[in-house]
Amino acid sequence: MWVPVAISDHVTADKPLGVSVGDQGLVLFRDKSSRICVLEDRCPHRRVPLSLGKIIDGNLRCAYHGWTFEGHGGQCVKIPNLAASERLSPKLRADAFIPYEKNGFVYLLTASSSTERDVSVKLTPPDLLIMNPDLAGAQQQSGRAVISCSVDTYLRALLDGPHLLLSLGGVCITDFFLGDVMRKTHELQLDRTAIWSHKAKPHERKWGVSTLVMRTEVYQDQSSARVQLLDVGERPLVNILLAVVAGKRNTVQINWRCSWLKNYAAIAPWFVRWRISGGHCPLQLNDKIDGSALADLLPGPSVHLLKNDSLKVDVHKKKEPKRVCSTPPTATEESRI
Amino acid sequence: MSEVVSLAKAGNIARTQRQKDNWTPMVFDLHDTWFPIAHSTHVGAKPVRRALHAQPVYVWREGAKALAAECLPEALKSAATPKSAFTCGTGIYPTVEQYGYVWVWYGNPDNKDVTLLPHIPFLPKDGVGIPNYMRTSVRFDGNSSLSVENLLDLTHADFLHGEVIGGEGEAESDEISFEYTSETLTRVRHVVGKPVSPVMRWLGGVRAKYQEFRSTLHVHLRSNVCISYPRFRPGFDIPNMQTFVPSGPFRSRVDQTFSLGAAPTPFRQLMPRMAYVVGPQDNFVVRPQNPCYMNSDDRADQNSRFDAPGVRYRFLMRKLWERQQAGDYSYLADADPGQDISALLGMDK
Ligand code: FES
Ligand SMILES: [Fe+2]
Repeated sequence: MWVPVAISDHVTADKPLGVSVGDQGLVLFRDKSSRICVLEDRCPHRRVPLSLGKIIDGNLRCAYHGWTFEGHGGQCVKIPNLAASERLSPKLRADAFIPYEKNGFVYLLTASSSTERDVSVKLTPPDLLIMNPDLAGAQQQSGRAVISCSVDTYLRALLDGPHLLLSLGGVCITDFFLGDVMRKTHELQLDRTAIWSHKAKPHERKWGVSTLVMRTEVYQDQSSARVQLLDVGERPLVNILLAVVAGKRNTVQINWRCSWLKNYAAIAPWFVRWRISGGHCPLQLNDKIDGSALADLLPGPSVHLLKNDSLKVDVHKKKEPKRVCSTPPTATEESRI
Repeated sequence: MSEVVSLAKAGNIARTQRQKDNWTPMVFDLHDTWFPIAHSTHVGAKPVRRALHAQPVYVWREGAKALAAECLPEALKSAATPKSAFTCGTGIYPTVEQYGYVWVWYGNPDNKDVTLLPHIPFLPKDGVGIPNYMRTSVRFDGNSSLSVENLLDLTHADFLHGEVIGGEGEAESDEISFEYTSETLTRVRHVVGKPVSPVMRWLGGVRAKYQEFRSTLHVHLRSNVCISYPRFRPGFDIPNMQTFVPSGPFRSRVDQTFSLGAAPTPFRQLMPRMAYVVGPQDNFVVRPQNPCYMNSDDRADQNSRFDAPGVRYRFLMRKLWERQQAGDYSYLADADPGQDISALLGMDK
């Protein structure tokens, strides 16, 4: 399976980037021709994390004794103070990994067995984390956060209570679900009501006409998710891609990309427009989740997310009426709730 | 649990056969040696808390006499206080005071022997007359063996301590040699035609352009006591001792004492302070390095020829540890930790 471990733009030729997949530490950087390199974040000399080092001429130099490694096979290419005539043994090398850059994310191949490895090594990452082509011309931003909960907890909260995980400028995210989870080809999809926040208070008591929908999609591989803000015509206003990968000590690493459209700015309240025009991203990813709020989050749509079983998604089969109506219903009116 | 597929595992590059690792510094717990637990000046009537490997140590003075115990003084008399074989059940460790340190015997008290105390030729035996500015204390965020390796190793200086020590590699000749016994390792570095470092020039008043530099480091394996004798010509000597007392498997404590009687002012006053600059630089790498030695790894560390003294250090430590594991705590005939090391340190050269 391919896991999205970083945003392409975050991997540079200036400074190494340390990431992890579970407990495995990795260091990412770019060589002279801008190709991505991934090495184990552990110097084979004395085990110091290579992410503390420096990139010199497209190679990674360890911070402790200056052993320098090229990034594609991990071969040690320089040991300081050795005479020019001294040859470096090909055995001196750091472990190297296989990166794949796609749609603005960097993927790494993982496998739990040799068979899985042999099958998936020939494949490329799935086209899951992809910005809707309609969004061309939209503004974009990306970021990275490490959050103190597990991947499973995070994805469940994303379905049951995304307001604990993120906020969107001017938008009140409610837990009034619009139906149940739907199973699509690659994802679980759930819609919920969202309200412009200046019109939303106090929505728990007075439920008016809502004009926004928040759509959450959790992909089968359980390492990618998408959150969209849609207008009444179900046209996207904001599109958020979330790469969700397990980190050390059971944390979760989120690499996100957010794009927002002109439409969003056009219909958002004035204070949001003002902030956006100043270059602010409407998305705020919450990297300090409130533990008691998380604990108190009532189970909802997440019951359909099966743990450790990414390909089977347990959605109740929709029961349809036996008799087909003689007159088909007219186009749905704006949902009045 | 799935793991990230490496190039080697995917068959893209040949898997190099690596030796199994047998360097596990965290488990080393060598007995029957004297540890310099504290600067004498740090010990007063109020007890201070220290540790030797996993053993608790409290040090204080009763009158002029320094005492070290497994518990606080008031708990000594209580039968409820657990007391170990390290103190023969008395709670009190064997203690001597020498060279400006309080030394504690760690091991079987029946084997304690003051002739096993290291010989430190440049420090007064009674500890009298060492000015306070020649003493420093720093923390090392790695276990004592990794910290000693850091001191033995010379190649990291250019990267970590470059701005303090000055760049190397421009010298006429730069030679490293070492000798060893079953209890000690002595490493000598001899550099000819080394450009005078800025510190020596501006603080030490050395006007020459180049100098000869001979630095000897003498390591006691059981106690991690490191005796260092750098000599600069033209210039002066910067002899010093570093303790690397194991405070459990994760940290060590360094109480350093310089002997800078031969150096001019203000070098004499300022040089010891360098420990506060160099220490954090070492911790920058030793701190994240330490947990990587927690479990034995199936991949042994790779080495270059510069690592020869360090590799020997690992070998000697391993041997000593295995011998103690088999119940042999004795000092072999080739080793005499208390012997006069003036010549070994190159003080006569
Ligand atoms: S630990 Fe990386 S070069 Fe020594
Ligand atoms: Fe150092």
